[in-house]
Amino acid sequence: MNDQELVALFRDKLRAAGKEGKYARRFTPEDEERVCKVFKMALENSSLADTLLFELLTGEKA
Amino acid sequence: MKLEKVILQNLGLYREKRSFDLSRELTVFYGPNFSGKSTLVKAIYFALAGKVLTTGLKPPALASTNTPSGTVGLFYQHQQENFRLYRSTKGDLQIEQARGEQWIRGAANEAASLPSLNQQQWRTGCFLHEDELGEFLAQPPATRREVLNQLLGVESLLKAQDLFVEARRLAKRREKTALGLQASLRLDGLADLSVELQTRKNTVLKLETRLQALQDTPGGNQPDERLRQAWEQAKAAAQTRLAQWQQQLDAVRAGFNTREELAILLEQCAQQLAQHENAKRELESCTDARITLASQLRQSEDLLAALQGLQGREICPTCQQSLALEVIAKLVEEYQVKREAVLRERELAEAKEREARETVQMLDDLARRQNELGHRRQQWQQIETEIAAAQKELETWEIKLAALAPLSPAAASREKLQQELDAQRRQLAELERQQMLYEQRRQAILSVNRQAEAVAKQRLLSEWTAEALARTVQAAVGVSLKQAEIEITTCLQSFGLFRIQPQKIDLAQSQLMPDIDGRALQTLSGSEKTILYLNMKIALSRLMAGADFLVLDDPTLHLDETRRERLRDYLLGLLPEKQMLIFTNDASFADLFKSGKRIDL
Repeated sequence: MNDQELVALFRDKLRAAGKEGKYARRFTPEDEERVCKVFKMALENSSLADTLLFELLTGEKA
Repeated sequence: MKLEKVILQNLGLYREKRSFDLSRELTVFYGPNFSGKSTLVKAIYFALAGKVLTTGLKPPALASTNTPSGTVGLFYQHQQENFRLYRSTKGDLQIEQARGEQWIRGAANEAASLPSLNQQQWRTGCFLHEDELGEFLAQPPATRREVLNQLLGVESLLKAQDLFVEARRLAKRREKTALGLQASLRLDGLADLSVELQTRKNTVLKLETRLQALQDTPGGNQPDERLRQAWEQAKAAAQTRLAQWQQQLDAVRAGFNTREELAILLEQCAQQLAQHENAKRELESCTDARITLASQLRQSEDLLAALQGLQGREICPTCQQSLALEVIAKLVEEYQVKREAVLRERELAEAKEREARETVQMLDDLARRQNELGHRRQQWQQIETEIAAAQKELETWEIKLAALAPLSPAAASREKLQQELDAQRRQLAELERQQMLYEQRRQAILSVNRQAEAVAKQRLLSEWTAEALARTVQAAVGVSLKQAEIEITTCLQSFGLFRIQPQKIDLAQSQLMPDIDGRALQTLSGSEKTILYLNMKIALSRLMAGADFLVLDDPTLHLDETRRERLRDYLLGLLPEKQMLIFTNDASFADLFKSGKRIDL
């Protein structure tokens, strides 16, 4: 699977999980978009630091 | 990708230039030891991957003794295009693409000229070399796991998963810290003194006003009547302003009891409007679909009309050729059915478009209403601020006017008033200090609570993404591996490898070292190892797009005659999906292949 297919698969799983249990109605489409962008970035940059990923994911410094 | 020709010069035993044409399906190379079979295998791998197949060696080691550099050339077809590639052990690479009779250099870049396989995928997906099984068995589990991930092309996905899992760990740690801080922050006896503080301020103001009034009345102990009148007028003006603001507030708050009700309605609007952009896109997509179907319908009708025009004619009026009436009638019938189907689809598309348009219109109206409500909320807030200011002013005038009440001669003593004022000011300063401490602590608690809330959301978000990623990995890896596992199990069964009963091979769990009948791979006999490894390799190679050929160097190691025949049948069964290049020093195995091309070295 290439990166594009993986991002599409991840988005599907994200949406499915986002409808369940404690995650239901807690996140916006903007959250989903941001998470997918960070995921794509993580796929493309194997040397991405975990603290930077956290910062990109949450918008807060780790 | 199909290999067509390989050329070697100054590589291993091949000092002179030597060229081998390959069959697109099966080529069997037969030759005794030291006839150059392994050199050919290594040369093909080197041409494609730019590395040496045997672990630990560098490309210059492939060159013939006492030669500065060796070269391999490879002619192949990839994605319907013909290429030729020359790679030297010094590191030079030249790829040319065929354009008619000519070879054009740089017509396509390297990425487009070769399948996008990583080194591990080339190695495992397309080549079996003589030392491979031994090397594989010697690898530690972590390396085998890495190999498996590289084969499946999911290393980047798993690395991303590690990062997201780490982000979840960080979020949990931050939440724990925030909760600890939240638990440690208490008011510790500090109380809200704002009411007492205000009363004290009013008392001080009253005393200050009295003193001021006495100072402004030369020689007397009674306040000046003119001053009272001026202050009464100022109070009346403040009252008027307050009444005006309250009227404006009544107009703005129409329909709402509190500002919170308005805020809730605005929040509901925002939630519904989150779908606004999606609804617009949906409408665009519905419109496109409807237009496409309308165009298809027109085409169907035109074609049908043309066909109907030919009905009953024996000669075509355009090309003057004879017409098969039955065929025309059948086509008319077919196209009528097609037209009906397209018509139904278009009606459905129109209904869907109408529905989408209504949704968009409803959301447009809602957006306008949201704007209007937002504006009202702003006005409401502004007016409330003005009302609070007017009330404060009014209160001040009331205090000042109360201070102007006639005073008894004893109470009117300036010295006494000054002493009382000083005492009240000292108490006020102490109250202000305590209130400041209380406010600071309260703000700190509020800030920590807000932080804890934000951190809890971050933790939930990190769990959500980690959960989704775990499912992604499961889907991406699981589906591919399941295919390979089923294939290996079936194949091992056909080779009679299971002595007790067929069992499910679990490649991921065993990290490419599956047990057979409860026996570890290392403890299997030589032939069993060969069969299992070969099957595993071929099954995994079938998962990789672009690994369209297999180069097998001495695949019959340890196999008896029956199993060699089974192996031949198995390999022939992979044609034409896989192009096969088999290298063997076993004449009887080479003789088993009646079809394909044979090259004796």
